[in-house]
Amino acid sequence: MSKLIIGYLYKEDLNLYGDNGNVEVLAARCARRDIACEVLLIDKGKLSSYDRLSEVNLLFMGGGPDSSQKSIYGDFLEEKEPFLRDYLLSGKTGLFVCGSYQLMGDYYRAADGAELKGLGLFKAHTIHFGKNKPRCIGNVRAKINSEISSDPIFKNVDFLGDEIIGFENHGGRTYLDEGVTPFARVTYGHGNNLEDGTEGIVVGNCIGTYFHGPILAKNPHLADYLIAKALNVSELPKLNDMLTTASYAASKKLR
Amino acid sequence: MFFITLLITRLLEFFIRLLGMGAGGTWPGHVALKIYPGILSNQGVRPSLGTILVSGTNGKTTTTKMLCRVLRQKGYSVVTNASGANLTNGLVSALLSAKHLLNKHPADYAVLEVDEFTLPSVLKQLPVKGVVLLNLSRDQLDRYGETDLILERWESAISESKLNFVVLDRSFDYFNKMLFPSWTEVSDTENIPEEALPAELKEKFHTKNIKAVLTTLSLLGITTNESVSLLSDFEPAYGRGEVVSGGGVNFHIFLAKNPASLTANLKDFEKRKNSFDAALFILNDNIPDGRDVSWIYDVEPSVIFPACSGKEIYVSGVRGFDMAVRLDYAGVVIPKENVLISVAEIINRIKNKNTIKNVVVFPNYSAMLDFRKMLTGRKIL
Repeated sequence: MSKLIIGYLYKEDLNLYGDNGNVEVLAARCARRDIACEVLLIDKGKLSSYDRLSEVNLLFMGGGPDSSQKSIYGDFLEEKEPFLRDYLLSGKTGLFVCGSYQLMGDYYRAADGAELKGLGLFKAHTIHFGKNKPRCIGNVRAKINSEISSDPIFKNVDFLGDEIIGFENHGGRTYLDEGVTPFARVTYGHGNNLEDGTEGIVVGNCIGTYFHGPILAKNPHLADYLIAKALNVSELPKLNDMLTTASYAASKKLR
Repeated sequence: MFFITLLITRLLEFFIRLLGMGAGGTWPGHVALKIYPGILSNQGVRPSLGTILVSGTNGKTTTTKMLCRVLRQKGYSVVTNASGANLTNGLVSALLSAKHLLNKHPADYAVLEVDEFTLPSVLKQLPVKGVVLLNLSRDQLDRYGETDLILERWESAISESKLNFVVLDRSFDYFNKMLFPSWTEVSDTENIPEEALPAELKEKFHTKNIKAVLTTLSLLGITTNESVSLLSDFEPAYGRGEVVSGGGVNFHIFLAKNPASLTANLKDFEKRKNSFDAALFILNDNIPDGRDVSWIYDVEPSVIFPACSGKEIYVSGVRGFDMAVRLDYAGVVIPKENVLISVAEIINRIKNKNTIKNVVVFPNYSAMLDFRKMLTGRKIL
């Protein structure tokens, strides 16, 4: 089996909600199966200084406080744009949580009306309504879209079902363009905007989501799906998932 | 107006105690603020020698308690919010309950721990002599917003106040970036040499908290040597190294409510793990804890594994399974039967083990209150 090479974007700046746990979970679930796994940190700076970017088969990016997002904004939009565009269009696997999900969209309109341009690779935009609409905070659950849940790879690695669990915490509300596939449909909580029942986005094999928790710790079957997709294998050896399964069951009851 | 408010809150306090509804830590202040919102600016709540505020993410309660201890030993009367009620209503409750109807001042000193987010508004209302800023890290993010925002608010509130001094730890970068007005003396806790701290104190308390206490007291004219000797038999605040026993088992409780405090506690525990038979983690997600528990992944496996390896591990609380999974991913082996959401059940399991004498307990805030109540039968707040 080939090696999982996780490209971890801006670890130093974007690590606010324990989302680094996603990378830890991916690495641990590989290690337990004796699948080789390596994490490549991709920070601010010239693309040319990274000579192994083409080896990355699972890309991860989290979110951070406003000040950190501002500090990576220029680098993300200009320096990393060609790499991210190629990565997405080539159909490779990726996970973008919260702030990075927003930055991958067309734009972010702040509460004062100022518009922040996004990368435009996710056909979606985010609006912060300020005090007019409350922050979306709380436990959240959603059913992942049927394109993923009916994927034979998902069926092979799944041991918990198509409902995913997490914690959301976002001020901005995201609206997908017409015809764009959401990652999931909310069954409890807010999701993208509390209006249309959508949660996240799927573009190729990249997922944008508001789920923290971290999402892959709460949903180990999703972690396995991303690993299998990234390695292009149809199934993975089973692990002892007694604790994660019990945790998943307990979390389903959270309000 | 002040006098009426004082009378009413005094009566309320009396009835709360009479009816056994708690220690009166927050309600009298809550009512007083409804009747007289500007009460913190009134002369009547002002101590004669000054008010010291202690704020930061971790260590507020212990630091405050140490400062009170030394000042009282020196013969000063000190008012404090010992119950840890550190929002405006708790501060008002403490100040009013110390105020005698005929005395001009409630005490010589007020030493109050103040919630990070509440500090700016308190500084705007109450004339303060000095502020101790311990540290600042992510805590209850879903309730409070970001640390940058808090630092900005601290800075602007301090610049608008008449503070004599600020005590802080210059080894934290974020404090170095703060700007202070020219009339405020800024004292670095790192100026206290490591050798000045006696081993007995360092064993029980975090070095940084002790240094903050000694720095503050020296600004109040008490030498480090004198402070250290007055702290020699100091006992920890509830849930901060406190030992509670039950059924032949000693539970050593260390509040672990955010990545910084859990990391610090695990590192300390690793050094002393031979004195313990087991470790118990309790994780809740109630409002005072912050509802989001994903912070547990901000504690590095390289800290978790060496502390837990070789020890029997128990996990409990509403989000006990989240904690168990987190420990599992860090490489800690936990039998499923050692994970029980109910705190009462996990205590029984540990007691019934018979082989376990000393357990270190890492609860977050409401979990600590639950756990203590279960073992001592008493409420704190």
